[in-house]
Amino acid sequence: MVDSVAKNREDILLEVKGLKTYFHTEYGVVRAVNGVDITFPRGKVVGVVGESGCGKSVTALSIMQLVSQPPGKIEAGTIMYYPEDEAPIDILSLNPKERKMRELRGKELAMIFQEPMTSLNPIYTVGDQIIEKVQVHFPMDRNEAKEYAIDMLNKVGIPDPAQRVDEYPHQMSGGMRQRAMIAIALACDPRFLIADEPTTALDVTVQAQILILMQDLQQEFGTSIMLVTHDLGVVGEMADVVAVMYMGKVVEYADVQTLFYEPRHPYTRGLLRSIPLIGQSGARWLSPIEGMLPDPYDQIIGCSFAARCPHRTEQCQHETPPWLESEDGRGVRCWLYA
Amino acid sequence: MPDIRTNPDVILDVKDLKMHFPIYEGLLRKIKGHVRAVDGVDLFVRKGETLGVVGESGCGKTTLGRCILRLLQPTAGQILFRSVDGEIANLTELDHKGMKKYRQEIQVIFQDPFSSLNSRMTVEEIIAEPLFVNDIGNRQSRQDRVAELLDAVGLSRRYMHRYPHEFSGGQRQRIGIARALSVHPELIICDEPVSALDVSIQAQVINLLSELQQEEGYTYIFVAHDLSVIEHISHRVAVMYLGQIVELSETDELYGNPKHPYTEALMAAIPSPDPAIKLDRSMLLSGNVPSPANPPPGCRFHTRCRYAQEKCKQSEPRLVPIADGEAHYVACHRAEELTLRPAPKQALDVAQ
Repeated sequence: MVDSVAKNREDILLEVKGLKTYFHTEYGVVRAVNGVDITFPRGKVVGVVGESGCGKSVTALSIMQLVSQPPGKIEAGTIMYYPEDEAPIDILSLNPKERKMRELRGKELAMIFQEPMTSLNPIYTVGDQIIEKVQVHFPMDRNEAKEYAIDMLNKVGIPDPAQRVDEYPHQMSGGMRQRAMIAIALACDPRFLIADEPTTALDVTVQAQILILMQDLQQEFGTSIMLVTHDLGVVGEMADVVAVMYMGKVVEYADVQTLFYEPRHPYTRGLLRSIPLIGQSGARWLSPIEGMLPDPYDQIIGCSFAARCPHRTEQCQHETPPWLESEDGRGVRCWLYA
Repeated sequence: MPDIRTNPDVILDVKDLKMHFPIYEGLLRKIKGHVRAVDGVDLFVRKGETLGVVGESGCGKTTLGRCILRLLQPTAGQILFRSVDGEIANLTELDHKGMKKYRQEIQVIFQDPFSSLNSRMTVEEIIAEPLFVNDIGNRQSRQDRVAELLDAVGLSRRYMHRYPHEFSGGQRQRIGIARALSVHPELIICDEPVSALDVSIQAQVINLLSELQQEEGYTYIFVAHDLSVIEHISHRVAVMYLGQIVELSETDELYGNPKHPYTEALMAAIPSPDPAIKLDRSMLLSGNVPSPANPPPGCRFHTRCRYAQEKCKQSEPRLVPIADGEAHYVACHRAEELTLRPAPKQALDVAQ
């Protein structure tokens, strides 16, 4: 049950350690990512879940080295990428604008964004956008690349791919656009795919289609996926391993069953208790987490969740809780387990 | 359906409501067709209950709410509303002036707490505005009422002189709720009031709405796309597809014994937080919702329905009660013969 969490070095595809990404704004410093450690096992789906502002998207952008600098800055940490037959690559040691990183980005590491309408280029056909990417990374002429693009559109379930390859994004529905986006992301057979809220903008029946598509493609290509989402239903459906984030830190990391059935961190428990579940209509009241998210400009002393935590002690308010990892690979950041 | 004239507990009775938006073409703005956003809706709401309206984007659920609020002038149909003094009025026939009386009694909470509050007004001005425009009370009594409302929605009275940008999404939504409550409405249309909020905050706002209903007996029409939120908050649920209600029933009955294939498919598409429950691939709907400008003939769902037969393409089913009683209505030719799957029950037992 717990074998989803990587135990051996060989099982790890990508490892984020001590990542700190800050934004220096005119009002102060936002510590969006403030010491994040996440391990991405090979061939698994890691759900990164948390509420808005917890730093999940900035973690994803940091891995791709796409954080706009300034105002953003990666202050500390390492992101190690372990390709199968090559030497490990320290992503943060690469210049985000230079050849090495650009080769990695798109080919080895790809990304699907939330809003297919704003992240696709409206003045190029969907086909052109795949062709451009394929030609950057592979030695193909335009005709070959176009064949390849049609093949990709077919794989993601777009009907009549030979015609639709020449369509513009606005000619497609939301679900079709998201399929096109997935086709672009998977076009160079990446090892690591970041999906940032891939279905948030979609209706529930279309969302189900896209989730199933992602499961099938993940099986077919063996891609490791970082699935960034706020939707616990999507996590329960898709993820093998889950990292829960709060205020720029990972507070709990475990395989999906352990996390949903035996959550440890009070924040994880609070989140799971606050969602309405179908078939529990006897429960008239939800159990929300008290209070609200702290101001992102504040620097918090002690545990960042202490102010809202029903189990807080004196210690929680003064000392930052350590990351406690048990042998089975699960981890929690809370004084309750120290 | 129970008629408002003979059933004193019915507060709102909508009959064959239609809202068609013209599609213009060319320089002369010739009308080339209509978007049938709401196309023949029948429903009723009892006093003190929550009617959930659920459906995918473009199904007409928001337009339905806006028609009831008379922010739109419906193309056809009746909206019968029982005023607090017992009088029944057809809102579709009233002009601007005639509506004024009812605007106090029917209020709205919008989806987006960022765009629905005027950023140049203070919290006090925002919440007191419905009182001001309806000429209720004087300056002092309005201020007292604002303070009382801030207490009721769980905000500090000290916030009265602050501006919306100083608040988080959840707090702004509370301000929006306080504004809706200021004039003691009978009926509140909640248009996706929690979908812009984070889950932990969403639960706070849902609880607040339930609490207020319990204490003050408000009637809600709760429009949302999230089936678990709808199940939690609603006494009865209407499922909409392409401008029409396809099923209307008590909540437990709808989720436990759905009678319309669209309801079944919608419920099967919800990803469950319980990792033991996975999406059932055989239940997946293919394709997209057809355009409401050109809905399919016959049953509007037949193009995506796994149970569709010849008659479904020919004739349009009406929303009728199934078996006996007036509890469960469905618009499907095959409702009586089909056995459909209930919504998968989700269970997570999480200790505090």
